[in-house]
Amino acid sequence: MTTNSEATRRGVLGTMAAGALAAGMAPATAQGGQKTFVLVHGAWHGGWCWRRVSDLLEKKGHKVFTPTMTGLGACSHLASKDVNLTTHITDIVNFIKWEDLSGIVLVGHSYGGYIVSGAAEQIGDKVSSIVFLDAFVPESGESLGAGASQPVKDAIAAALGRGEHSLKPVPASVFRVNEKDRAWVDAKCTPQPIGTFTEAIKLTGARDKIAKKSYIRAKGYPSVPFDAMLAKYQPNSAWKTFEMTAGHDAMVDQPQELTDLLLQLA
Amino acid sequence: MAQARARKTFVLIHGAWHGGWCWRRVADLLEARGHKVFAPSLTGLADRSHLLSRDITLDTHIADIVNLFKWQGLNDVCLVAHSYGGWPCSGALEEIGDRVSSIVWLDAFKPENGQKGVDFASGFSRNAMEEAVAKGTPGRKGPPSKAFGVNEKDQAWVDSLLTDQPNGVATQPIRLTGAREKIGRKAYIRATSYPQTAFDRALAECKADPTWKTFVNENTGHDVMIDQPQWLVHILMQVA
Repeated sequence: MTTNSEATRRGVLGTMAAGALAAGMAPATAQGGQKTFVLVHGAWHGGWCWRRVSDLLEKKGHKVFTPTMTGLGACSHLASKDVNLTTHITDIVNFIKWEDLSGIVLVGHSYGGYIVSGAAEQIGDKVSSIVFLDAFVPESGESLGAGASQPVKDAIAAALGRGEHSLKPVPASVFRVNEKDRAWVDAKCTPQPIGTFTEAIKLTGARDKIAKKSYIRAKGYPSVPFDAMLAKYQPNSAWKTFEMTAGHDAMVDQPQELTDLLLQLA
Repeated sequence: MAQARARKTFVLIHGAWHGGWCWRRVADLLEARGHKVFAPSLTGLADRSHLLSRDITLDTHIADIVNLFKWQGLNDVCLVAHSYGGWPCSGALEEIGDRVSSIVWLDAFKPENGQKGVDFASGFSRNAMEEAVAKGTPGRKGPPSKAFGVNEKDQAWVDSLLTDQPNGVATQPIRLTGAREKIGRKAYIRATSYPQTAFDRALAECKADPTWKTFVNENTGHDVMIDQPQWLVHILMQVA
């Protein structure tokens, strides 16, 4: 798949990186057209769900980070009753601080909209574009659990009643993941720590100060709350809105289309 | 998804007090060559320092690595362990050894079954740990980067990112059945200007073992990925 122009571009980037290191420069910051993406997964998912998109972005020479939130996926051995929304916000804030990232395209999928909104309060000045992908865009004081549909509220109450600290994954079929990938997605999804759904978010408007703000609705997944988010931001000139035909896991269903869109929003 | 044939996957595991951040220069160089790189921070350190607790054991760090392989579906990996990283990587290979085609031990511990980190700690490290454990604190401060021989220009940067090392990872004996030695391609890199008898011994063992390649660099501090990223990438490309 590598075209000549891509190969040349990679060669140039390699030379640039080597030159920067020879000059004793600090770790690479975005050079020329290179953008930095931080992709934040949603509930029950992990950094794994972004693999197709990160491969496509990296092929074009961009820097991509897909950290897994505490208690989920590759970090599921850290699940406990103590994991809450603050834990996940700190996961992202600290990641950006220790990697010393700036000029970031910060993408939150689904529940990840809570995480990126909370993180923007601390590292908003490092973010040049924030993208909500079929995601919640919470207001201060809201929690995902309190705003959820009755079945989700019931599931939270029932789990807490049984003394459990996590919610079983929602099947990929419910999220309208394409049929071929459903078994893979179901095998990777892990229980979601309930504390991340019950803690109310505290916001002071940092998200809204970010220069570029976008909402992408994945229409293949019927969702009243995400339709409402789209409708809310469509008339807002400070936001760009887009619709994809993918299921809720647009990064799994339509990685190329999503990659093209993210590059457009970077 | 189909990958280009020449594309290699690298998993880079940092040492004590460090985090995934220390690999950034090496990761950038490898990615610029089209390779896939994962450089996670172990639980309780760096960007995951908010998770520091007394519950963190060597098993936690082993699971950090094993689960990354499982959830990312990694295969045919070059696994690189720096310093303390030799402990969790040795443990992880017991579970994911069949997914690793080459290993590079970078100025790293090469433990045998039943050993534990505290047995190998330098005087500084051991005293700090005994003090921290006596006080009941979950971690302990490391030495300044100067002690690792980090080049002068980078010392302030490195010092600003070092975090406490969880104590619990050094007190649990490691369980090994020889998975590490079964890996097809193995290399040991020693940064000889950094004094550590455990690394000198590991180098000597590897030199005497034809299944290991050895490399010595006298012109770098212990943090080879920071001092000499291009040299390190050159070696990684030979071994992977």
